[in-house]
Amino acid sequence: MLSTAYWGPVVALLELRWRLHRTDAEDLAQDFFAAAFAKEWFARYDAAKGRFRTFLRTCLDRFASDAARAKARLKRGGGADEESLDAVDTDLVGAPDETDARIHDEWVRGVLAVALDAFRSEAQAAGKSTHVAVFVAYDVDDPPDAERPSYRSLAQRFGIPETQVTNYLNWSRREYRRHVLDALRALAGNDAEFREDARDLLGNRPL
Amino acid sequence: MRVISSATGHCETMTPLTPLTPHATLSRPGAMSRSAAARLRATLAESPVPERYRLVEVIGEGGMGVVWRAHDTVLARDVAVKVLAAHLASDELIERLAREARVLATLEHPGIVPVFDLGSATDGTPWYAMRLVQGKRLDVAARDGRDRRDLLRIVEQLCDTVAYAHAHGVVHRDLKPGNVMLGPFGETLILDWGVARDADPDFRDGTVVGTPGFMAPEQAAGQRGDASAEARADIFGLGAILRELVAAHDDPVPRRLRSIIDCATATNPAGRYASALDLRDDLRRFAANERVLAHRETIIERVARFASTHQTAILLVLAYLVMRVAILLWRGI
Repeated sequence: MLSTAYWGPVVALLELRWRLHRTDAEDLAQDFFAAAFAKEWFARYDAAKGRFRTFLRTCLDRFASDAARAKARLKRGGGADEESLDAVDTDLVGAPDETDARIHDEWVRGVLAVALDAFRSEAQAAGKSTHVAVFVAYDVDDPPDAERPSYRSLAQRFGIPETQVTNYLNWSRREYRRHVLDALRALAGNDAEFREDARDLLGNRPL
Repeated sequence: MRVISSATGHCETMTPLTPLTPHATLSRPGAMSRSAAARLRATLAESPVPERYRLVEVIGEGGMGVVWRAHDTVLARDVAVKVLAAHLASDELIERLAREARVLATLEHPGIVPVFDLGSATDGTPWYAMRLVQGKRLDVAARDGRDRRDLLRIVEQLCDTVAYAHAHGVVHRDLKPGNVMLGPFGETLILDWGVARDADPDFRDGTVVGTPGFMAPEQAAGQRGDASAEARADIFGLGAILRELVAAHDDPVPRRLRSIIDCATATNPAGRYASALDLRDDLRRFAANERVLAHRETIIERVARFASTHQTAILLVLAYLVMRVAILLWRGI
């Protein structure tokens, strides 16, 4: 879940801040998560010191910096050093810049995608594939003519009574919301961060 | 160590996240367009209540929902809005919250918060608006050093309200000090009717409801009966509230009051007061220093009670007798 939700933000950060091409950014993101999991960098996160996203960003910046230095050394003919992130300082550094909005946007998409996958799996396992399909068709898929499908067309497409479309959507939205909360909870460093993220995504909705 | 919350939804309990190991699978998210994300976000962030009610702040979180102080923009007044918490939005709890609103709407009594409105969000999550009571919860008020007589009067009012609900076939099933609010005008209001059983003869609820310490033994055992049988569980709840309030005082508990509590909280439902009004009447008798039905008095107790009730008259008679004896003795001398 962690790499799925943060994949977009990490790639975006590498593209924007480190000026990497998309494919290079994705390759480095893959390396970053692999190294982070192998060396358990994220286990050093201390929720008391700040948000997990800020910590992750600090880790990534140092990883990218090391990678850039290693690349420069290789160009000069030297060998690559072990990543200095083994000695990563867990004191967090906030670094707001112009990329924040894009990073946040990617993070939101990542969380929504994680939740959608989880919702889809659970609902399908519960025999509610049609519920998912109606929800995806109405709330997720980009409509070709920029207008959402009508309930009647959804009813015809999925072979359900038109009056059931609302029920299917209601149920799916509730379940999806629950999965979004689950994802946020799992990704947050602590309760305060979870609540802040939930407010950000859900507005005034009760948790 | 990263942590995630437990499934309580309130995140008081934090448990370690699954360890991040080298074997963790790196997965990339499924494609989601920006417009899809924006649409989903809009759906998720949609206010659960209509524009008429502007949610201001959370004033309470219960087992079932979140209560907001909200501003009714049409009538320009503050109200309380109860919304089912998103993580609890199961079909059963959706029905339960809506039923709570309907039950409250059928009960028009000064001791029951009136419901103004009931609706549901676009995802079907129910909410209802009710009078905003800006008072103090009984469990908090009981610690304020209130006079015992005052606390007994509160329980009498609770008995009145419960008796009214029972007369309409409604059983609260979770009476406790935390579910009682003392209003600004001295009114006593019973809150949280979320687990109440209504007058519907087909009422079904397979779950054990109530709060330990205030829950009747038959309730804790999951025994079911008709509304009148379950009403005895509310009598137990009233007795448990009474016991809690009396215990908040350091003064010794009079035996007659102890008997009232014991009768209301009898293990056997048949041994309890038959109705909330019977309990109320016994409390009134206790307050008036009359004989209470729950206590079989000894001769000494009866004399003592008589003496304390008619203290002035007895003193006058005694003074008269002493004077007479004194006169007789003086004449004799």
